[in-house]
Amino acid sequence: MQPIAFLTVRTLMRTPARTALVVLGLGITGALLLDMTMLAGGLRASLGGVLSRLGFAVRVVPRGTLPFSGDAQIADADGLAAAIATRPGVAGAVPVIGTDVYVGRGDRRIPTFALGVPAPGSGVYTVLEGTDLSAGRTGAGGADGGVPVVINRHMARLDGIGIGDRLIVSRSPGRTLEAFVAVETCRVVGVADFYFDLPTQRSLAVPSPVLRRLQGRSGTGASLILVRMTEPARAESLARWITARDPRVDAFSIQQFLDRAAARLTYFNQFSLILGTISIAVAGLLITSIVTLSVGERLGEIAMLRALGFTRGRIVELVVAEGVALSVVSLPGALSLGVAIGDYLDQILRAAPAVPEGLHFFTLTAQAVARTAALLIATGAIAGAYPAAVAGRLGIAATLRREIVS
Amino acid sequence: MTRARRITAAVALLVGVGGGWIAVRPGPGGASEQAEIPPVFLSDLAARRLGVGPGAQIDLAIGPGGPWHPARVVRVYRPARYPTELGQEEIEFRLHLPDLQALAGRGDQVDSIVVRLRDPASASGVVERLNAASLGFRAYTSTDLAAQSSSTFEVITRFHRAIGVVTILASSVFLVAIMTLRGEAMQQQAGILRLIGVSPRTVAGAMLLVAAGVALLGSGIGIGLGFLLSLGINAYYQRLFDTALVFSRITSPLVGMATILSALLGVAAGAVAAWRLLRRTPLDQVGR
Repeated sequence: MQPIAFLTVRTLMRTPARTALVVLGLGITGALLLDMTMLAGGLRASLGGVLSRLGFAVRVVPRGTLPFSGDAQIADADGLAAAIATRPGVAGAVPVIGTDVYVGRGDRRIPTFALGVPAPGSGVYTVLEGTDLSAGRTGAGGADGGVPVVINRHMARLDGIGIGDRLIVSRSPGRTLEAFVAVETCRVVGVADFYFDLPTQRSLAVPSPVLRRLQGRSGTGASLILVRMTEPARAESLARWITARDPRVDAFSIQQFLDRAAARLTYFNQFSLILGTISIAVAGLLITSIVTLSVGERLGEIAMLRALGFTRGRIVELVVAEGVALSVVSLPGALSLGVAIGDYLDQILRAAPAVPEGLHFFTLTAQAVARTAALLIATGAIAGAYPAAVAGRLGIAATLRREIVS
Repeated sequence: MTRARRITAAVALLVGVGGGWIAVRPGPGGASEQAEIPPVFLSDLAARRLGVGPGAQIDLAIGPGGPWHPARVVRVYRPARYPTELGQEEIEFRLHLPDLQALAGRGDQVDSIVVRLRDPASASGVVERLNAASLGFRAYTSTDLAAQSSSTFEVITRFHRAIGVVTILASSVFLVAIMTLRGEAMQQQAGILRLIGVSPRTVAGAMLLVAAGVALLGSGIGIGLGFLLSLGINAYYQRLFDTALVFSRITSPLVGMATILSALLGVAAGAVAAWRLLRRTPLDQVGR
């Protein structure tokens, strides 16, 4: 192996400009390949990462829907949540209501996404400043005359709303109709980080009974039940149990949820497959061209090596090693450039509307790096196969004679 | 009726339809029963998935738990699908507005009202007046809505453009590498030409011509490949999404731009190769 490595390095160093150009070309195509590998599983990995961080292993939604994708609710969600909470391995089940409301601040009416949570510390958001909703509040205004609400950072920053401020919350976008719908006077008690907020989305959390009153709904319905588990490994069996118990709902473990969401990511998967394939083809062509020309220039040298005792197999190894070496040398550049380009492309795509803040399209994972490296090295080996076959078939005497005559 | 409903429930095939649900019931009822049943238009996808056609009777509900209301399929239609709806598997059906309102139990509520103006130019003023009334809705001009709904595609276009720049960069390096090799292969030939009196300018011009020729030939092959790929992409995705939408379109300006770009890149690559070719002396080039 040592002579082959030595000869490969010498061959590549003999024409440094050419080698540098090929490495540059492979660096760019490799970068594109890494980006497409990152894109292929990026959104799924990013979504999975955010979902896992929240700590809820199972999500229960009205059948045929995704969380907060419509106004559909799970009827008697409190009862279902209580039943789920008794299952082994379940630490808690939180019914959550999600709906659009308007927050009145002076003359302004601010469209806001409202979450109804049954109790403080539900884990649906993380309080950054102030306090959480008070335990035991059913939504009736306290002695201070305001229902406690927790707002998100966007509302605090963009609308200048702070802790202690009073807000009017209703389903009406204007004052005229507020006389005909439920209206709640609320008091901001905390500012929190709400997961999956859009870049300028205003969100707030109120006690569930308050939101039900605003919606004009009776009963104990909810948009979603979040299940926290002490044994996440049981998530899939719990999801099956829930679906069998109540045919009106779908229950998903994180994996099942990602599988369902993946159907909506077809565009990115197909795009990355097409462009990734083209990147590999271009890299392969580049290596084949360069190594073939390089072999063409060194026919005499190769024939000499054969005359010195190199077998055909060793010659084939030598030429294939050149292709692989070009791929390996280009890897650091490809990975660095790929990460930089991926960041830029991610910024472009995240500017699209309705993309939650924590999500990324291009996610750098060890798997993506390993796959890119493996694909690029395999391309180098395969691309070196043709010139290797040409070199392996060389006749020693005829080639040496031709070289001398020419 | 009750008996029929029970049988239906036993063989029901349930499919989520946004907030609604459909159950197939076998066979239509009598003439008087049909007259009372609201008519429904079913999308071709819904009809295929449910295995029903015009004349079939189905049950509809706003939630999977019911209550179920009968409806009669009078037509199967192919909805105009927007690019944003691709990949979504929800099936569609259409009811008369009062029938849908009765099914949803939402009185006379609607999700949106489309207003046709005698003077379309006054749209902005009308929208301002409607919004000032604060009557529980928000009005938009068609232009505003189009701008909002097209922003996703603007982002995708920017994304494609950025990817395009990267691929152009990669192909430029590819071209320069190939032309450099070509130049190296021409060293001896160029040295001889220079020794017999051909000017360096002519040698460089020949190199540029070769490079431009290679680039143009490559772009011709690339356009041909692109055309075939485009046909394949359209055939595949139109079949995958069951739509007549065109996913890939090769236009004359696109072909023109690709050709001009590759010719310019070819000339630039040729210039680099010519510079490398003429750096050495003629004697050096012929190996003396």
